[in-house]
Amino acid sequence: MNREECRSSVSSSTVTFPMYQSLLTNRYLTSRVIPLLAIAAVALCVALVIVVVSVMSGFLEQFRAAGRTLIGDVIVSGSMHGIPYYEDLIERIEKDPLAEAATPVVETWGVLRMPYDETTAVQIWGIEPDSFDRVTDFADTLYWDTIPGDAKRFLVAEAIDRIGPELADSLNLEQRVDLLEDRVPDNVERSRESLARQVPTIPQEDWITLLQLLGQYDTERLQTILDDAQWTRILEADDWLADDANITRDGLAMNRLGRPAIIAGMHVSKGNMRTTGGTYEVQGNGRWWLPRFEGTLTTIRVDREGGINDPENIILPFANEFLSNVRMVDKQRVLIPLETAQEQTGLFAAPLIDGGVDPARATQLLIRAADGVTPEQLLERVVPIYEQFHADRRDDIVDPETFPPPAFVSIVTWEEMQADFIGPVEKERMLMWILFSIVYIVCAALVLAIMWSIVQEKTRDIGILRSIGATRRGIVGIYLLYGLVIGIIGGIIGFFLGWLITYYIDDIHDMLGAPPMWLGIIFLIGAASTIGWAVIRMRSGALLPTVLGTFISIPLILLGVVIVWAAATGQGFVMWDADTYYFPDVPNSVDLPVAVITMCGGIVFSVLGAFIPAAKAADMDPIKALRYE
Amino acid sequence: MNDTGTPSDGPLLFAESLHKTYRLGEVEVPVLKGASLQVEAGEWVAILGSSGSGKSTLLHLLGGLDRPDPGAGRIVFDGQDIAGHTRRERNIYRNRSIGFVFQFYHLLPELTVSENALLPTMVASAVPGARERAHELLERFGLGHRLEHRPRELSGGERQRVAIARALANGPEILLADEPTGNLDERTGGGILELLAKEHANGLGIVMVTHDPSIAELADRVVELHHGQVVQADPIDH
Repeated sequence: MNREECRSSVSSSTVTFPMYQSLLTNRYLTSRVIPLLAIAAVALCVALVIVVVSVMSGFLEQFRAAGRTLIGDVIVSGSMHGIPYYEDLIERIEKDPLAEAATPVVETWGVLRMPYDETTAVQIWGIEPDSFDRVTDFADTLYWDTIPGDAKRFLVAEAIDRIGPELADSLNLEQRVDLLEDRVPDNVERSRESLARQVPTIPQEDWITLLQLLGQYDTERLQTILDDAQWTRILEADDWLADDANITRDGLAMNRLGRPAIIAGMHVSKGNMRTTGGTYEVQGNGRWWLPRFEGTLTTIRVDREGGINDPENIILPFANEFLSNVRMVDKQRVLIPLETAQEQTGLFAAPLIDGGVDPARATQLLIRAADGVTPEQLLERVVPIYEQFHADRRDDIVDPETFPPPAFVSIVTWEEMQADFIGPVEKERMLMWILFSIVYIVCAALVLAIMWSIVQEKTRDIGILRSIGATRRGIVGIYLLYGLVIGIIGGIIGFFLGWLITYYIDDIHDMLGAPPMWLGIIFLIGAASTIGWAVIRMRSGALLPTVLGTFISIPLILLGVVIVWAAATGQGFVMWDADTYYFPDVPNSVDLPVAVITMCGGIVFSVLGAFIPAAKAADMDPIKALRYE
Repeated sequence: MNDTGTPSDGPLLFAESLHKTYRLGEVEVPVLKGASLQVEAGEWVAILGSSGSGKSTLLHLLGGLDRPDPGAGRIVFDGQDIAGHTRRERNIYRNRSIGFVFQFYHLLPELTVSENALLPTMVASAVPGARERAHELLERFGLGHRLEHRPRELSGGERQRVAIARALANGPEILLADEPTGNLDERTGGGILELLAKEHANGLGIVMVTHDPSIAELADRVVELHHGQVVQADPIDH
């Protein structure tokens, strides 16, 4: 090869990597431990940033969205007299193209008594389910669309109770003997004839009891004893048994067997337990299922003069439960039909002694904006609508003082309504961004420093390569490739690690909440093998294994012991307390743009961390580089 | 200052009144003060000098690793001024025309013996037959069984032989050796010198820096570097 050829091959190095670059990159990567550490560092940094950002931004997003749940975009709140003629006001608002729908709410407070001696203070919202759904997507929050576990058996027993005498009378002799035979203990011999002789002596209510018992403990057996007509009669007594779809239907109608019913928040009763999958289990395998019971609501009515009346009780069946995923709401709100709430609060339409009718009232109106309309835009339209509404209707009312003038009505967007709630969130978001920037900078600096020190250590290699004629560009290329490969491998591992951790963060959290025994045992086995390794190596006189063994085994032993202890005593580490954070789940959606940016950041900082010292070394006097220790 | 005398048809490599000054903070330290040297093709020249006499610096200048002070001297190889070369030309010069051997071997620890020896060829992009030539060199140096070993698995003498094989990989005309036996015991060092002598007998030009007169004696010619100048030319008859 003459000089011309040589020259052309050097210039071609700018296009493709010459052999020695890929060879050296490959060797640097595979024959040393440090690049593995660098890859691990990049991966951990990328994963850390992805997890922190995803959880934090998910949390803040959820927090913000929570302020809007079940509330609409614009809220009109009347004085304590409530808003009369609210149907008219809704009609006027819904005529505006900027408004999608509006719904009345009667809000009050009370005490709810539930089965199993549960009593809790609740916020009662009287609603019109159809329009309430149009404004708040309430239907989506209804939780139950099937009967859980054993609840079905209890419903069968209760249905039999409802049609008891009729069903008992329809039994033929054979069926009665079957029912009796079922009650005979297995170790007792009784012929069907002797049982048949007993039949006439048993009164009607005992037959009902027998039917209920069998229905509760062995529904399938009862079904085989009864004929189709009798079974159908039971299903008719509670159509939830006939078709699961009726559960949702009753929830939407707020009706249970023809009576107005309560829809309670999912966490009003302690009977519902969240599983790791985010679904719910009902205590006693369905025994505590609230929708099979009735509850007693106690409210105190404040009359229009502000006086307090005696507490009033009302017993209502439950029809379903709702899950808004806002802990605060799910824990203390119950929904009842609007008319029932108006009855309880005295806001119902009342005929007056001296003629006329005092109209029914709502304490609030929730309004949903049309698609693409901001709450603020909608608000600007609602204010004049209310003013016009007040001017038009104030003379219709017997006592105009009870018609709140515009100045006494608060018309606000949901954000203003929840200002106490959202203000701190906004501040927290800012704080989070600052903290996150620090984490990001620290990670970037770490990656930069590791790559820098690796390349710095290779300064003499750079001098050697220069002495045999390698170009500066060729040398920088080696380390660019090196940094790039470390960055890409680390970045991709970190991306998926971050993704996995974020995706399974609830499972990880649940596992921390109830740490499994095997995890502790694995830690202890790890500690034991570390100690074993250290002891074996120590006999050869080395100091490092002792130091390493101690530093590694002590935390392993501590972790192992704590986990085993926690698992044995049923303790756990609950970091994400749903009561503190309002939401039952740790947010687990990966913020994809941020994840991609973070991964690219990992690659850029790896390349930069390699490039800067490599360029510096390539610029260095080769003689100095050769002498570099 | 031209004590060595001027050959009639021009030497392969010659340096003329080289000056090199290093700067240590505010102080300027002159290392070479007008050193001149001529090396004929296939000639073995030993540069003898005490430590700090500037002999390594002279070698680095001859090898194009460093440049003399601006305008202070010329280095001419095969009729071309190295000091006036562009970076790229000097890279090619280092890669093709000369080979360096250092006191501390300077092998790349991550590469095998074979790869270390092939490195100059790879830097120049692979030359056909280079692998065979490198292996033939290693074989000749008694390293045929060590091709896939890492430098840390070799003795000092073996490492230096790998370094020589690397220096000769692209078939340079001159080998620049900086105390090639300085880090070896006498016996091993003797082996290295024997090996150099053999290559020299095959026509390789050598410029060897040493502080040991007994080693310098092996060369065709010994020059002494004193206070930054070549002060003695001493043709030796073998």
